[in-house]
Amino acid sequence: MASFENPWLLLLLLIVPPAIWLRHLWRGRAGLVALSFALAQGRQFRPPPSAWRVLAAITVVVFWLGVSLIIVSIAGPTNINRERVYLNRGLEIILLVDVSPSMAAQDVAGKNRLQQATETLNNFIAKRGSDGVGVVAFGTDASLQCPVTQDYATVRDRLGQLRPNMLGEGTSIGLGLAVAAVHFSPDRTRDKVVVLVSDGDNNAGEISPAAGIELLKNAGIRVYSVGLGSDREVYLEYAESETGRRISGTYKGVLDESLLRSVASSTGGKYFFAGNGLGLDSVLESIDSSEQVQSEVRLEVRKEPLAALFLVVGLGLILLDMGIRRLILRELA
Amino acid sequence: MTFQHPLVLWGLLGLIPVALLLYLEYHYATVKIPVLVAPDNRDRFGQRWVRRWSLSSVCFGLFYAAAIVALAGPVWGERYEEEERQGVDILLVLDVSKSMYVSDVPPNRLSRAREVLLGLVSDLQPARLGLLVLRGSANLVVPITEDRRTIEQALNHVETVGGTQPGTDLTAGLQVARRAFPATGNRYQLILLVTDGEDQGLTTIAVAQELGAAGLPVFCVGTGTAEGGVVPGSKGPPSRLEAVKLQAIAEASHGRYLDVLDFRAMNRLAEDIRAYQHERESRGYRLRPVSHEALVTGLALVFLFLSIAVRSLGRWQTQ
Repeated sequence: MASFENPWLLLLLLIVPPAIWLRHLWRGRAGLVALSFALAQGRQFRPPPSAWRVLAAITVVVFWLGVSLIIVSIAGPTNINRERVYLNRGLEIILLVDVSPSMAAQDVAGKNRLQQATETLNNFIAKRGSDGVGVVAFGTDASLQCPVTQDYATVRDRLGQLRPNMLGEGTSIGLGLAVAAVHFSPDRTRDKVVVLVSDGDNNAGEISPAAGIELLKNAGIRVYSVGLGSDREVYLEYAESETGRRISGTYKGVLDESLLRSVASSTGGKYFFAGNGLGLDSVLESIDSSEQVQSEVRLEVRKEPLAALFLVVGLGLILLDMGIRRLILRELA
Repeated sequence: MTFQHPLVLWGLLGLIPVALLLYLEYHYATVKIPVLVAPDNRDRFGQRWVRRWSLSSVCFGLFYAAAIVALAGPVWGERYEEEERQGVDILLVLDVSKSMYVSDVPPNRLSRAREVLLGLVSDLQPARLGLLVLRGSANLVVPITEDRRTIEQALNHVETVGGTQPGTDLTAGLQVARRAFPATGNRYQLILLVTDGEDQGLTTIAVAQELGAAGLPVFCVGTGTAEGGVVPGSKGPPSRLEAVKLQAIAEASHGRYLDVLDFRAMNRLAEDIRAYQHERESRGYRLRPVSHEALVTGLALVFLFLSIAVRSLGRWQTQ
C-alpha cells in the first residue's frame, strides 16, 4: 500500500502552475524577444509548426514532470507492508520425501510423482507462519536436505532440488524415519510432525521401519503418511545419479499401504491415499486441520521508502530537459 | 553526518558535464547576442545576461549537488523505536576462501575459525543459528535453525561447500546474510562474521551501515595476523589480516570487533552475545538514525526555483 510520510508537503505542487506561467507564459519574462510582424492578408503571422517547436514543447513537459516528481519525493512516498510477526512457536514439521526412481513415474502426463508432490508441498509451506519446516529425502540412503527452519524460501529451494534416484534405487522408509527423528529439536513441549510421502514399500536400508517407528514414538513425534501411485502401468523417466544417463520405460509398482498405515497409526498420526498426486492438496489440508496450533500474531508495519526513486527520475528528467535545450535547441534564456 | 549510500556521492562528478552544458550556453550567447541586440544596447545587455546566467548557473549547480547529497541519504541524529522481541537468531558467516588456509594462526586460519564457531554452537543455547559460507559468492549452507547437529556437521565439512569463484566479496556476503533471517520471526538478529578481512566488495561499509540502521549488528572475528603469510600454492604477496576494515564494519553496524588471537575475548564471546541480547530485551527500544533526505531535497528544490526565477525575472530589453 502506498502512502506519504508528510502528505501536506504535496501542497508544494501548487507552486508549479505559477512557476510554469513565470517561465513560459509571462510576457514580461526574460528570454522573450518581442519581434513585430506586419499582418499578412489581414491575418496575424504565426510561425508554422515544426519539429523544433514540438521538441521544445516536449522539454517543457519533461522539465515540469521532473520538478513535480521531486516535490512528490519530498512528501516521502512510502510502500507500507503489514507483516505478521509470530510471537509463539508453532509445530515442527519434517517433510519426509521418497526420491526412489519410482517417483519419476508420470501418473499425470508431463509431471512425475515427485514434481507433483513438491508442488503441493510448496503450497503447504506457503501456509506456514510460526511452524518450523525441514526436509529429509530417502531412497536407498536417507539424508537431511534442510533442517527445521522458518526460512521457508530455503525449504522451497531445497525441495526443488530433489530428483528421483538421487539417493539410490531402493526405498528405505525405516532409515528415513530415523534420520527425521534425530533432526527434531529436543524441546519436548513442542508438537512435532513428520509428513511422509512415498509410493513404494520398504526394500532397503539398515534400519527397519519398526525401529524407525520406535524412535519417533519415544520422541512423541506423529507421522502423517501419504501414499502415492496407481495400479496401472505408467511412463517413467529419470537420470542416473552417477552417469546422468536418461532411463525411460514403463513402470507398475506396488504401494505398501499397510506399512504406511502402520507407521501413521503407531505414532498417533493418520494415513491418506493421494493416488496420482492430485489428491495430495486435500490430504495436506486435512493434516493442517488436525495439527492446528493457536498462533499469537502481531502485525508489524514495515515501510519501504520510495523517495529516492522519485528523486532519481525527477533529476533525470530535469537533466534531460537541460541537455535538449543546450545541445539540440541551443536556447538562450 | 553520515551517508546511507556514500558511493552515490560520486555522482557529484556529474557537476562537470553540467558545467560544460552551462558553458555551452555562454558560448552561444557570445555568438548570438551581437547578432540579436542593437549595437547601442549590446554592452549593457551583454553584462546583464552574463550576470543572470552566472547566478542562475550557480543555483542550478547547487540544485544538482543537493539532489545528489539527498540521494546519498544524509543521516544525523537518532530517534527511539519500540522493539519487543525475545531470543536471538545468529547467522555465522564464515570465510572459506584460499587466504583462510594461511597458517599465520596455527594450524591455519580456517581451522581456528572452525574451532571458535564449534565452541559457540554449544555455548549459545538457546539461540537459533545458521551458517553462510563465503568463497567468492555467498552460499547459505544451513538456514537459521535450532538443529545444532546440522550446524556442527556443516562446520566440520565446510571446506567442501561454497562457490567456485576466488576471493571474498563481503558486500555480497552481508547482503545475502541480511536476507537469510526469517521474515516472520520475533527475535533479535545478529551476524557473526569470521574472516581475515580480505575483501573484494566495493560497498561493504555502506552495507554494514544499512544493517546497523536495521538493527542487525555484525560481530567481526578477525582471523589472521598483521604480518600475514603466503597463501598455500600461491606466489603472490602475503595475505594479511585487514583488522581496520573489520573494525569499520563492526562500528558501522553497531557490532563489535574481536581478534581470534585474543583468547580472553574469544572465551567471552558467547557471554558478550548473550549480554548484548539481554540488554536489547530489557531496553525494549532501539535508537534509529534519522534520515534527512527530504530536507536536503527541499533545499535542492529551492535552488532550482531560484535558478528559474533569476532567468525569468527582468526583461532583456531596456525600453
